[in-house]
Amino acid sequence: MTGRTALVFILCAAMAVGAGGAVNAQSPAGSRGRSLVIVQGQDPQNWDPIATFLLSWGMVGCQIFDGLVDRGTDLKLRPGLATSWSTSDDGLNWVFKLRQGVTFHDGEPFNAAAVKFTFDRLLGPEGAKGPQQGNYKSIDHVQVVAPYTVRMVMKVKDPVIITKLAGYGAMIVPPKYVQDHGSAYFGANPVGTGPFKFVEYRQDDHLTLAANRSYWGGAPRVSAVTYRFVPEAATRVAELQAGRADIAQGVPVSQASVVKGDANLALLPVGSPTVLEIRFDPSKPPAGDVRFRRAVIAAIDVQKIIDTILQGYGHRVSTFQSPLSFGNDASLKPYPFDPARAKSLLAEAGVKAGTEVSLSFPSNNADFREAAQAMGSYLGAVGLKLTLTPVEQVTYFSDTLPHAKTGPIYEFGWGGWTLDFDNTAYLLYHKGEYWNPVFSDADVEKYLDAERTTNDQRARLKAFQSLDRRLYDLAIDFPLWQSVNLWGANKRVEGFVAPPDDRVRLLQVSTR
Amino acid sequence: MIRFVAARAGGAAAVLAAISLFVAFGIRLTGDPAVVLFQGAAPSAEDIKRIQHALGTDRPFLAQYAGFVAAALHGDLGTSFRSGQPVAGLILERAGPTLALGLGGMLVALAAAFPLGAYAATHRNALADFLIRVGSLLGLSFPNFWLAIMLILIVAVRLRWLPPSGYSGPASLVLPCVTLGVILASTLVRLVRASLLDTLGQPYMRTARAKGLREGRVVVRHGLRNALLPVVTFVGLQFGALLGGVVVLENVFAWPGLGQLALQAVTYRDYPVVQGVVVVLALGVVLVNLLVDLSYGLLNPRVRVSS
Amino acid sequence: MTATQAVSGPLPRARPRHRRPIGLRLTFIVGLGLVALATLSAIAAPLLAPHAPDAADLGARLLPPRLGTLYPLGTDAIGRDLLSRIIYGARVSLEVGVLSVAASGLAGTCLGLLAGYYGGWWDELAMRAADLQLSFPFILFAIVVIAVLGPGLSRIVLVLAVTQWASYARLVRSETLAVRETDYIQAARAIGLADRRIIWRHVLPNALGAVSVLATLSVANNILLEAALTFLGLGVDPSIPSWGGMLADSRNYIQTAWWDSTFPGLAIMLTVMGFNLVGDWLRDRLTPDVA
Repeated sequence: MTGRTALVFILCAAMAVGAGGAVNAQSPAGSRGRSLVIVQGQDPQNWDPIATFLLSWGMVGCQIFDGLVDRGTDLKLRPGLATSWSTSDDGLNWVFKLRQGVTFHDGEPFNAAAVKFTFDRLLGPEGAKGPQQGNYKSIDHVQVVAPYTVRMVMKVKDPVIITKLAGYGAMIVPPKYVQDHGSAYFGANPVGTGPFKFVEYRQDDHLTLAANRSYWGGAPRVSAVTYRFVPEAATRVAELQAGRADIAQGVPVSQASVVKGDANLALLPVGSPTVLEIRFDPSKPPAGDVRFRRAVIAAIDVQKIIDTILQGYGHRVSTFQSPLSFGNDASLKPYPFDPARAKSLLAEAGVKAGTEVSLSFPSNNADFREAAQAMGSYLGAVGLKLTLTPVEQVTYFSDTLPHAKTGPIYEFGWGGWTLDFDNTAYLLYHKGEYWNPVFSDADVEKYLDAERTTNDQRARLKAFQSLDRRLYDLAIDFPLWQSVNLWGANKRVEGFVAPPDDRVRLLQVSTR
Repeated sequence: MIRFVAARAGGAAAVLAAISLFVAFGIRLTGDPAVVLFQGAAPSAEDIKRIQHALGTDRPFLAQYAGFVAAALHGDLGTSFRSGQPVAGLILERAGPTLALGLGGMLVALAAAFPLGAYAATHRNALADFLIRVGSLLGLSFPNFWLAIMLILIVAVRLRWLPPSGYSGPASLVLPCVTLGVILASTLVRLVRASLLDTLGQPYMRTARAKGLREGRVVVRHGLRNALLPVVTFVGLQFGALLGGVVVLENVFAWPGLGQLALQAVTYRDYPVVQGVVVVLALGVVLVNLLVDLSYGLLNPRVRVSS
Repeated sequence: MTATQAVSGPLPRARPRHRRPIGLRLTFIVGLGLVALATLSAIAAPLLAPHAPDAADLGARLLPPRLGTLYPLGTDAIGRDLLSRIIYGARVSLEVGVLSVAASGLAGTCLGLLAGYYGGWWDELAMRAADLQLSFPFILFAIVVIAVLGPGLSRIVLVLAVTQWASYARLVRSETLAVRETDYIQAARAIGLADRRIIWRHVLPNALGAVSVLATLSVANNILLEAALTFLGLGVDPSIPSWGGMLADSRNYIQTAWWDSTFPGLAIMLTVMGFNLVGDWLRDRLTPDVA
């Protein structure tokens, strides 16, 4: 049978069968028993915790590794491999008491020596090859005090060090295994203390893990997990529908109704700390004029976009932080939608009808892509001609943005992981920062300085509120919405909570 | 003959050198892999410098290129910036799936195209010819990703006959190869038909008929053999162009092949992998072209490439 | 007939036995009609389209097609009229297809003729250059060029043209080689006919048969490649309608809004068919007596 004849046959058969309804949905899923298949979009390609920042690592790496400190799905910190910790008054010495009776997957014992080895490696020449080291520069070194006690000596006081210890770079690695096999082997055959241990890996294809029965937090209820790397979103949803995947990461909003409409699947939306906005580059006319900026903001009906294009999967924000963030001013209302005012502001600013402005954005965000086209329509209604410039994602974040190569308007998204506005605000509004090559304002600098140089949280909050207001008036950016990520799961999976920080947690997950 | 091969070998070496230089230079224009490693974070200038030094990208271009060539001549294609694995090993691991997909697709295409094209040419302007031509037009007007997604939805989701994606055994090979095969076949059918039509009218064909040979024998022995010339060229061309179409299919079918490897490597500015893949592919294409040219002589003894 | 007269006309071919052409003229008319339709759409889009192609109405998203209403073919994900976008979409698709093929076809045919006819250094040089071009995977070349130069229609045409000349060169070369060795051409050279004349009047028409097939296929193929590039995120401004782009952007709606991808797909298919039918006719005209 030739290829084309086969195709015709298949299509006819499909129409006949499809009309009759789908075959039993559970058969491929049921045959898996107590093992899970998870499909995600990206393979980080290196399982060494010091080698990457990618969120796709966190989706997998947290099954294999633990840190001294752990973060749950509620984003609260709790003891991990360290059972308790205390700090000196000057904040330059931290002492950690370690959990006893824990072993690595290769049989090595977890102890103070392993912690020291991990941080020596992170802060030394091996760590210098990777991006994580820069995050831990405040640490000077780690000392073994007793078999299950370590002291961490700091170079400078770091108020967020405990949060950072839940990060990838600080995850504890097995000294003997890494020394015997080397980092390259370790990156493809990882060993840690986590609830699942490595079985096999094929790059860009799959990674298989088996349950670690002797995990210190209790044995997992599933026997094995296979992660499959499927870059195309439509295919990931197809895998769910076909019953070949139990959990799918990154369901696009356009497919939400497909997942919801399937009797065997559940759609799991989760708010993330990532906030999306459009920013203005004041060095590119007419974005230097605050009236132009206010006009653009007033012309776009963001709530309508959230309700329609995002199907409600997004929360409106007024400043560039999520409601969870410390520094958020709940009394500040989002910019109102007022096209008439937009037109008058444009006239005031002397911007003629039909003026072309461009919006740069990373091309891989399908939802923003649609939103951008809707924005074009809104701006057209007030007399501006919007051209869209999609830029390949990696180029966008490594070249276009930091080197101010965007148009007068551009997209930006940011996850404030520390849940404190300082991290975001400093990088975005302080003069000359990586993500802020052009903008600066004296008042903004004043407030930033005020909130950074004190530990009094009330004073910091006041400074943040002034900062929020000033930014609101300057209209240097237009915060749009807090992102909601969509996960899909087969209903046979129980206990799976969609993670707000993309760190999949499988300890409590079981299959029916 | 020996002189011919030797001359081509020299040409091939020149091509490889030119390509490796071009890609080494070109990829470095696309951006800094050190910065790319910080996706999602905001690196400081010293962070960048540190990583550049570790990766070796702070050396002058010629030093980097010379290092690459020197190592390549010993079979060492460098180490991936992203995964730390040796590039040669990665290429070997990923070549299998891509070859399986390419060969499978080509087989499906040839099996369909030759009989259909020959039939159409010999029954020119009959209804069958018309249907075959329309069918081939349909086959090549589907964008490959759309055809792939449609097949996945119908065959894997609705009918549950085959897995939607992934590289897991013979069943998983079917959908990707059929997708590729349908698209290739549509072009091939038309090429076979056109070539056959051109050669069927040649004077020596008339002679063959006049000698009393049966039409079928005439077609196969004389017609097809010379029609093979452009077809073989096409197949040879397709080998080089194969990666282009295969990249999209590997993306949709989550196929762990060279296309995916190369796409990811360019996206993440993984210089050694990009250089390695392109050079290996170039080597392959040059070899295939050599084979194609040698086969010209076999297919039509009157054609001898002048040297 | 003198020898000169004999060689001054086109290469004579035998007439194989064949049936009367079934609707040959009909298929040509259909093909020409489709191409004309696409061209007309491209040129007269503002007159033909009922709406502006970028007029979004978020309250009218994903409406199914209903003839006789405001949106006869339905609307897309942000409420734009599909019919209007398809009419305007002809512009980008045709520009990409025709321009890239014209450029690559011209360059490739010239080089292929020279390489096949003269052989020697010409052949070596042209074929090594072709090898060079063909060995560099198209998609990677496209990504690198667009990463360096930025996105846009001109970049896509450039990438397509630069990566495709080699196909024409090799094809024309193989056809030229096949023809060059025939007694007919040997005789022509023997009696001293100028090379240029031989190439132009005898070698080229025979090569054009296969070239026209390749060219018409390439126009269609390049429209599809533009879709593939959009699929990979390297396409043009998404608010500019292009059939390929519309297909790529609607791939997540196949199960919920079939019209979003079906109609652009049909547009591509019909235009491709049109070009191919015209190409068939061209081939028949340029290689006479095999009619």
